[in-house]
Formats: sequence, C-alpha cells, structure tokens
Amino acid sequence: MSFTEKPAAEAVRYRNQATQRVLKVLLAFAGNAKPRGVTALSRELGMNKNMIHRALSTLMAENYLTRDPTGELYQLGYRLLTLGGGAPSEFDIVALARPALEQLHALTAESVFLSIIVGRNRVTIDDIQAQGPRVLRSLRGHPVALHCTKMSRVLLAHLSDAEVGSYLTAAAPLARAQNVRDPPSETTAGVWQDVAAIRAKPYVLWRNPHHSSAAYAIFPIRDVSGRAHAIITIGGPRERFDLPQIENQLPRMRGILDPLEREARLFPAPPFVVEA
Amino acid sequence: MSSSAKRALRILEFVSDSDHPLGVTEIARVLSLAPATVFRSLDALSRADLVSRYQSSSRYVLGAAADRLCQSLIARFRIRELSLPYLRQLASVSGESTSLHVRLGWHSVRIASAPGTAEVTNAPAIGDTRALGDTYAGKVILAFLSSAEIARYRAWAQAHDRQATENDRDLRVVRKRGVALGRAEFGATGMKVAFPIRVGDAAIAALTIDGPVLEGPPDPDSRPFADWLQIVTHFESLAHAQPALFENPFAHIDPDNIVLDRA
Repeated sequence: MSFTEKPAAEAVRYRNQATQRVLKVLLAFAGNAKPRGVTALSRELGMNKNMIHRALSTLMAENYLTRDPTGELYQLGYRLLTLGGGAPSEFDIVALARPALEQLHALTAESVFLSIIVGRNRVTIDDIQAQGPRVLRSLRGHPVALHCTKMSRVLLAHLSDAEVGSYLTAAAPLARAQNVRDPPSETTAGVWQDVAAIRAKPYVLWRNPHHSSAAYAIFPIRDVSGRAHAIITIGGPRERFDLPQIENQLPRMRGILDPLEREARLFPAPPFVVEA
Repeated sequence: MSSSAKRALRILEFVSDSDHPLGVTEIARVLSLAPATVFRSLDALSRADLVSRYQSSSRYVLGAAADRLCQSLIARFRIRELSLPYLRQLASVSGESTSLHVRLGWHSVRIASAPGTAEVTNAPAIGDTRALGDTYAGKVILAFLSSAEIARYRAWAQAHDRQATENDRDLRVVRKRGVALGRAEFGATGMKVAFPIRVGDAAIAALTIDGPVLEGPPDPDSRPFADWLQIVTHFESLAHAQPALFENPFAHIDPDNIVLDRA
C-alpha cells in the first residue's frame, strides 16, 4: 500500500460509517432471524438505540424492512424480493440424486427409483427402468399411501413418532392399496412394529412375499436429525436380483450413495403436514 | 434518514437489475452521481458482501449477502417449503418445470420452482415479480379474488399507468375453467397452466406448470389434466387443514402500500 492510499482509504471508511451501520442492521435479519425490536438489535449489534432507530427508519422508508403483523417488531421487507438474488440454495433432491440413480442402474442393470413423501403418500418422482421382459415397474407420479408397501413404510419410519401417530390416525382404517400386497400387516400395531424394525437398520432389504416376486434394496436419504428427504430403491425380479445378489453388491451401492447422503445431511428434510 | 445509505441501496438495486457486471463509471453516469460517491457506496456495499467484484475485476455484481437476504425473506413464506413436494410431483408427471407464485399486494411473486424432467425445460427465475393482470399465474389469483378486490386492483393498475391486460370476460373464463392459461415462450405451440390455491373464498397463491402442456382448454375429466388437478387439490387441502402455515408475512400491509416498482 502506498503512502497516499492509506489516508484515502481511511477517509472512505470514515465517510461510510452511517451507510455501514444501516447495512449492518439490514444484515442482522439474514438467516433464520426472527422479527426483532430496537432493544434486541441494539444489544445484538452493540449499537446505541438512537443509531438503530435511525437505521431502521432508513430501511423502512425503502421497504427493505417492514413492521411485522404485531406492529411491534421489524422484519425483512418485501423490497428484497426485487433484488432477484436467484434461486434459494435448497436441496434439489432430483438433481442431486440423478447421478446416483444412473450409477446404481449401471451397477445392477435393475430398475432404480427416487421417491418422496407428498401429503400422505409416497410418490416416485424420478426413475430409471430396467430393460427386458421381466423388470420391476413403478408408476412415476402415482401416489401410494405411506402405510402400504415396504418402500412407503421406509419413508414413514423416518418421521417422528408424533408424525407417524398423526398419519396413522388420519389414515385409519388402514386399507390395503389395490394391487399392492406388501407388507402383510395392516393393523396400527403391525405398522408400529415394522417402523421399529426399519429404524434399527440404515437400509432395508426386502423380498416381496406375495405375487410380484421382486426383491428390493431401499435406502433412506436422511438429514442430520434422521428425517428422510427421500428413499432410493433398487429392485428387480428375484430370479436374478434376490437378496444374496443384493447383499453381494451392497458395499458398492452404499459407496455410490455416500456422497449424496453426506450432502443430504446439510439440509433439513421437508416438513410433514397431514392433509385434511 | 441517511441519504448516503439510501444512495447505496439505489446502487445495490441498479447492480441487481443489470445483466452484466458494472463499473464505477457506468453506475455514476446512469444514476447521475459523482464517481467518488459511487466508489464510497460500493465500498460500503462490498464490506457488507452485498456486492462483490466480478472475477477480481473493477466491475461489480450482486454479492452473497444479497442472496442470503433474499433467501431469508422467501423462507418466511412457510407455504414455500410445503409446496416443494407437490411441485416435484407435478414436475415429474408433466415433465415441465413447475412453480409456486404468492400474492404480494397487487403482484404475484415466484418463490419456488421444481425443474421439469423433459429434455428441454424452463428454468424459472425465483423472485420474478409481476402485476397480477400481467401473467397467467397472477390472473388465476386475480380471478379468484372478490369483485371488490378486483375493482381495487383495477384502480391501482390505472393509477400506475398499467395497461389492462385482462378484462371481465377473461376473468370469467378463468373462474369457469378453474385455471388460467398462458402462451408458451420460445416459439413452442401449446399452453402453460396456472391453478389457484384458495383459502376460504380467495386465492392466495398459484401453482403453475411452466411449459407447453395443453393444446387448448382443459377437460377436467381427462388425463393428464385430471392428475394435475388432483395434486393441486391435495395441496389446497393442506391450506384448509393448517391455514396458519399458509399465512403471508405481508398480509397485514394494505396492497396499495406495497410498492415494488423502482423509484
């Protein structure tokens, strides 16, 4: 730095103090910040109430902050929407899981599905179907109740006990979905028992005991608290993809899913709200 | 009020609106400010990470803190995270990108989207803000407001010299169909579709399929339209079950007082 630059830079800093205070107050509302009042902001930012009040006035006048519904506190203002900051850095499960689906399909040559909870149902939102005369199919976008099928129950099991309870209450009586004949138990106690068994393991290997003669490996993709963003299922006919073959490929399957699982832990899984 | 801070915010918005990185000289010329003044404002904005230098050049783009603020605001709409699974389901069955738009005063704002699964699909801009009458998303919200609210919107639009792009007949058609249609861009034939999300008698938001999925007016009983409608109906039923989760953080502000246009 030259001798002439230093005083100039200090002069800029000096003249910018009022602006910097205003911007500091604005930035205090970034993140998951709740609405706050002058006293809380003063304490938090180490600025006197008069300074905070002046900064709030400027930001309110420009609609960068507004009063909250109580009228007592300040919250982020709608004007920030026009900054067009771009897409929120959310966990886009479809884009992030796609490479894993492709690698799992390449490894097994079987069908691979990505499924999430939508309302009270499991819905497959991305898939790669195996080719050949006998393959496992799952209708993309088709809802299957969370207590029906092992795949659905893996999603159900990764909700909290209270959420599982509210689901079972809302879904009662637990009808079996047409054409979907696993798992066998359709009582509330049976579902709870299954939920406990699923929670005890990091993945589920399942052989359908009924007509479709399919076997599956089902992997929950969880957040840091253990809630599931989604499940990834690899499934195929038992004559070529039964549990011994799955167990043989399990270490490589888990290796493929490891980067996705690590990424998933950085984002909270979506909330679960039971429909009316 | 701090005029220097006000000036800095004006510069921030100018940088945000620009489709290319901006230097001090260009900002000073367009905003009729002294270059030294612009430099000082950019210095303050830069320290706050609201703008940053573009690839170590002397030109500026929006900074990470601006993104964080915008995201923090959008996150205050709880409806957004609730909508994401439904948007993904709608995108997976339609193949096209889907979006959630909420009402903000007399505007609609896109606050969430899910990418489509088709080979070519739109990448809708989050934060895209339009007057209600200007897009299919806004029109479907407008059509399901009360006649008194529609009259207020028209008065606002007239006061702001907005050309009326919708009329009573248009809105009647939207109400009758239950959806609004929009012409697809990029020379595609076919129509995009917007569904209202209603709480009580009034629409608070719209779910849209942002690609050419319909060739003409929809038949509510035919697939795949019936499948889309069912997904939207399930989402709407959440609003009836848990209306508090669908509250708009700006609902307490008079729509006439929500100013989104640049000064």
